[in-house]
Amino acid sequence: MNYGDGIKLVYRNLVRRKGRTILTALGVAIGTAAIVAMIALALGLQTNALKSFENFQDVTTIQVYPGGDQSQPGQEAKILNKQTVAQLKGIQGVSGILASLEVYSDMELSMGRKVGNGTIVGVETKDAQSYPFKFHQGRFLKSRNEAVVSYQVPESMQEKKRSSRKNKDENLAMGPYVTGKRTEMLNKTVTLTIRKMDDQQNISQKEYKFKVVGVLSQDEGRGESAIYIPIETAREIQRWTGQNNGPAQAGNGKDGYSTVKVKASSRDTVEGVAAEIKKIGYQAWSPAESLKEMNKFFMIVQLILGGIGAISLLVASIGIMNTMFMSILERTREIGIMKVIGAGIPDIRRLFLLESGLIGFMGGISGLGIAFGVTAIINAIARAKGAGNMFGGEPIGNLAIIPIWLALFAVGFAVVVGIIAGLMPAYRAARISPLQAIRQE
Amino acid sequence: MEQIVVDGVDHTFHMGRVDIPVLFGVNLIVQKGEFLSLCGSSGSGKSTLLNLLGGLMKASKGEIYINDHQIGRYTENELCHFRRENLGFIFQSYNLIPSMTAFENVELPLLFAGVSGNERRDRVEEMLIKVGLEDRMQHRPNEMSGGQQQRVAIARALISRAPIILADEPTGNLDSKTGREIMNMMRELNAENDKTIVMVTHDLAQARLSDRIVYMQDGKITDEEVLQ
Repeated sequence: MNYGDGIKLVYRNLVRRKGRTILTALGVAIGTAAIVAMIALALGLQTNALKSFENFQDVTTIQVYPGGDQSQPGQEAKILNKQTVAQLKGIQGVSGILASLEVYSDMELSMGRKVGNGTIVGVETKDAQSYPFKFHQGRFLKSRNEAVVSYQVPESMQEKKRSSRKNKDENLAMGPYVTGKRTEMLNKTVTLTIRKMDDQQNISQKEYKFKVVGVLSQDEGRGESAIYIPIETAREIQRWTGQNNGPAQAGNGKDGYSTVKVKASSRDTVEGVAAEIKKIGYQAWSPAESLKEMNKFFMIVQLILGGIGAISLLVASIGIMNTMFMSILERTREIGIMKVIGAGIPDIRRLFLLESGLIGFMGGISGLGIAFGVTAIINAIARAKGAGNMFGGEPIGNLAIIPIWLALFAVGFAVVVGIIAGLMPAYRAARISPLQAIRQE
Repeated sequence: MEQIVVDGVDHTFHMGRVDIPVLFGVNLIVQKGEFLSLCGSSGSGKSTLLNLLGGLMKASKGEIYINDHQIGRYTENELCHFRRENLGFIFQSYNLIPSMTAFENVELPLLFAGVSGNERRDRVEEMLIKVGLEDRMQHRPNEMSGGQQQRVAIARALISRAPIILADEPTGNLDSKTGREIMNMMRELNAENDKTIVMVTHDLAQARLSDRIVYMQDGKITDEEVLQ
């Protein structure tokens, strides 16, 4: 017997016992719907979380820190300097290196009547040329009197109204002050005013003038408010202020850096590059590592939620088995007759497996329908309550997502569950003797 | 040509610990194209003999050859295939599948034989017309009379073109007029299509319509009568 004829025959049988078929398939439908809805929810959470994460983090950037264990005697710290940069250049998959020295001092950025703030970051102008910065406007600095600011800086510029110290401190504490209004800074000259206080509480100040030649794109160093200037000037400021509170002691040396950023050529090469950097002896951290952890976590969430759904499908499979055994009892004579008129053992087995598989299929399809309905409701509620924004950032898509693979997998899984549940009944049915046909009732 | 050979067959039913012997040393030869009646009172073993011929059970002792196949050696699955090609069955209680129409019941053996859809339809329609049920094709068994149901069963037995028909009291549930119609139909089958028929009956009047009557009593063949 071929499968097409078998399915027709089986379909007729199922229609004949509509009520029972529907109830059995309903069990499968609920199980399938549970699995799909649960996994859809997990997938939605994951997608949203990752999207939010990527909104704040540039996943291809690796932060390099000084290495070595300085607490151990005899262990020299691996500081960040020119040699470091040379070593990092040799790593495959590195598309750019930005060695910088951050200067923390009492400073003010001014342009005409407007003042703003930011962190002074000194960079090696030669190396920085090859670093793949994305620009909102302009280009990277090339000479001593040029500066580049990050995207947030023009937003922080505002009219100088009160010059009381207290107020300015508050502004600093709040970080980049975002008013939404951007001040055009490109090709304008800005003044950096650095102040220091000596032991006698005398305040002296020094001014540096730069021409802003570039504004970085929003994607670059999210949330950062940096003013990039040539490293030579940064060292000069550091020396003048006598500041000694960099994140790494090494940064205060003659040619040391406080941070080195390495840009990997792509998302896929990040981990390899980070591993190489660690092998050389530095510490490296990239958002990709957190991403990996996050993915692992969401995989577990999916497994747990999917597992909860799978339990209901397991219960449904017991329902299928029960229905199939009932069906055999009712049809013992019929099976006997079929055997008398020429049905082989494989034919009978196939008929019953097709029947349970078909119940699984019908349940799977209706379950998928239910799941689509449920997720639509979840998404509508989530939208209404603004839960799509639960991780912050720009408004994100649906809370529950059913990708095509999940839909196909769910129906396929329901069919497989149906067939597995039908195995025992099918083998039992195939063993029924043809003598049953002639037994008089 | 000897189509069915029964050689020294004993058969014993095992009911728990009790053994009930029902056939003792039965020998029988049926020629191709012969219409044979097995007659005897109930308990004579005639139905058991028929079931053994159909491969529905295995003889405790002795051998049965059908078309030179030693069917006692076949596995159950081989027997299913063997039946499909060699044997058609007609039962007293028709044994149609109640949920299926006359057409579907007759079609079933062809489904298992893997015959294609178009050929199946043609053959089933032809067969149902032949047994006079052209206007009953889409009726279910419970919508038909006993005689009509038995004609569906005959059509089903014939559809796979098996050379041998085994009939167990085919008219047992029918009134005498309908019974005669069915007997005439069997007679025609035998004459026109050269089918070998082995029929179990306890109705001597009907047995007399066959070529030969074999009488059984207490598990043994006691007598036989060749008719003209």
